[in-house]
Amino acid sequence: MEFYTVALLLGLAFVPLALGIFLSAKVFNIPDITTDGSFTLGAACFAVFILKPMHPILATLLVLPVGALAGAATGLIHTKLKVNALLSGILVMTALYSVNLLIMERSNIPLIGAGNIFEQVNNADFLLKNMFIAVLIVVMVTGLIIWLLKTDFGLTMRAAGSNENMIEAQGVNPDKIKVIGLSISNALVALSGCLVTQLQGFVDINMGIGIVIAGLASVMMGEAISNRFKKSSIVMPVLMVVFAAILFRLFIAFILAQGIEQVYVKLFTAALVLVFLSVSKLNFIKK
Amino acid sequence: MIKFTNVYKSFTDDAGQANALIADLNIAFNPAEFTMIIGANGSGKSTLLNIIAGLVYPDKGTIALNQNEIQQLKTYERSKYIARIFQNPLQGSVAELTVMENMRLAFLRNQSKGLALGINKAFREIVKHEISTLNLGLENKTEQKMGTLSGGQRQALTLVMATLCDAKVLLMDEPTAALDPKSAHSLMENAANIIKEKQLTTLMVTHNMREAVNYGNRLLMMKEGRVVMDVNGEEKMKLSANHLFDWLN
Repeated sequence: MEFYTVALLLGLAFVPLALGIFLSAKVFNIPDITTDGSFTLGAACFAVFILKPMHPILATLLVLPVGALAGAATGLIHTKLKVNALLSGILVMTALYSVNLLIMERSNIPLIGAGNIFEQVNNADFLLKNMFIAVLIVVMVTGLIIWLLKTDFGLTMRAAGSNENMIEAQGVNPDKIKVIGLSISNALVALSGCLVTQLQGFVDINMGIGIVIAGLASVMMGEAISNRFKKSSIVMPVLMVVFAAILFRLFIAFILAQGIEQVYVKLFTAALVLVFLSVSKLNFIKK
Repeated sequence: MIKFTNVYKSFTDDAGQANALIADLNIAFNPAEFTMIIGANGSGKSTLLNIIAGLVYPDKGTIALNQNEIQQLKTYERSKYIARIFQNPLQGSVAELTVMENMRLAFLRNQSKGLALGINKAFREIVKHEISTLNLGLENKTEQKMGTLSGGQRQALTLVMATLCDAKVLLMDEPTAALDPKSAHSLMENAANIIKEKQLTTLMVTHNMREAVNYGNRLLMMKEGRVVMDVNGEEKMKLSANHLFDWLN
């Protein structure tokens, strides 16, 4: 049972990632691969901050603007230099690999004994407290995103992803909105990387590889569920993405519990996304 | 209100030949004037509208809106003053947002979109009142997604969106082309009422000669980038659709 509660904890840590990818892929209709780099960036920066040392809450919060910078880089390359969105993300992701190594100065940093917003993750006595911290973070982040999407600015973001002509006709510069949107998205992804790192107790240069697909799996599962409710409000899709992100980690834990080796996890993830892609006729890459 | 001075726009074809889309145009549109623009395909009607909207930049000449030159402004910079209705009813609104959310964006056309939750009770009342003037019963569908409505309904709502904030100029590029005859008639009646009530300077491109004759108080016919006919007032009233067909040929 403890195996699954740890998976639940990890699932909560992956919620900001899923919300970030929800923003880029669903709200903005941009396939943003920067994610793979900004996830590790968040973890790497946290490691450097915490070993300074710095207060864990401050170190966690400081990861947000760093992730936003990565997103802004992709956004600016896409809008100002007119590079295809997918390619912009790949460029920044590739560059971030070097940046992350430069930040970390080696490919793996153990953080056992370093500051952490969670307490002794593997100790069952602290499980309830850690769960409370994780839930609190998820509620705050989710609440913030729902609020943002309901504001006037959020309406503009949602419109930008589906009808650029329309928002231009309403006096909005679509490029500006995209850059801001990708910044928010990658800030969330970096936060996720930083939370996951705190739970696993180390940073690894390769921890972000393929993470975009894991996030996308949650987004698609979430959409498949929320479509059943036929609500016009944005609240349900967001809540279902959160739910799916947690469910997805439990699903992975379940696979591992069946004795299937860790190496197959990414294969399963990719297969799962493929199933959702083909079944729900979802337009991840529009046009 | 809108003044074109020596406006010239050309495109270079595959043979390297420069073709004038708009050839040295000098024309002014007065406040509250409702101008119909007709002409064959390629005569420059849509280009004229797109130059005002900022989708196309002129090669030469100036366009002034209330004495301010606007030809260098980007589309989103001038849309504060200019409302548009597109030929495709799906283009003017966002399918994934509700009717109310679309209205909110339109309402904020000349303001910045901040972090306020703008859709409150007072706003809903204003919007419902505006929509009810269409007499289509759409005021009861404001919480539905725009995508659930028909093309005619969406175009009618786009009309409300276009006039929800104080734009002074309305550009309509074949707004009824994709609609069935009944919806087209209803849209034109509503448009005429709103244009009159809000005193909008309106330019409408149409291929429908009956619309061109029945609505508006000025009529332009364009050919090869030039205005070849410009009638208004009483003179326009005397026109019939058959006349226009003859001239067009």
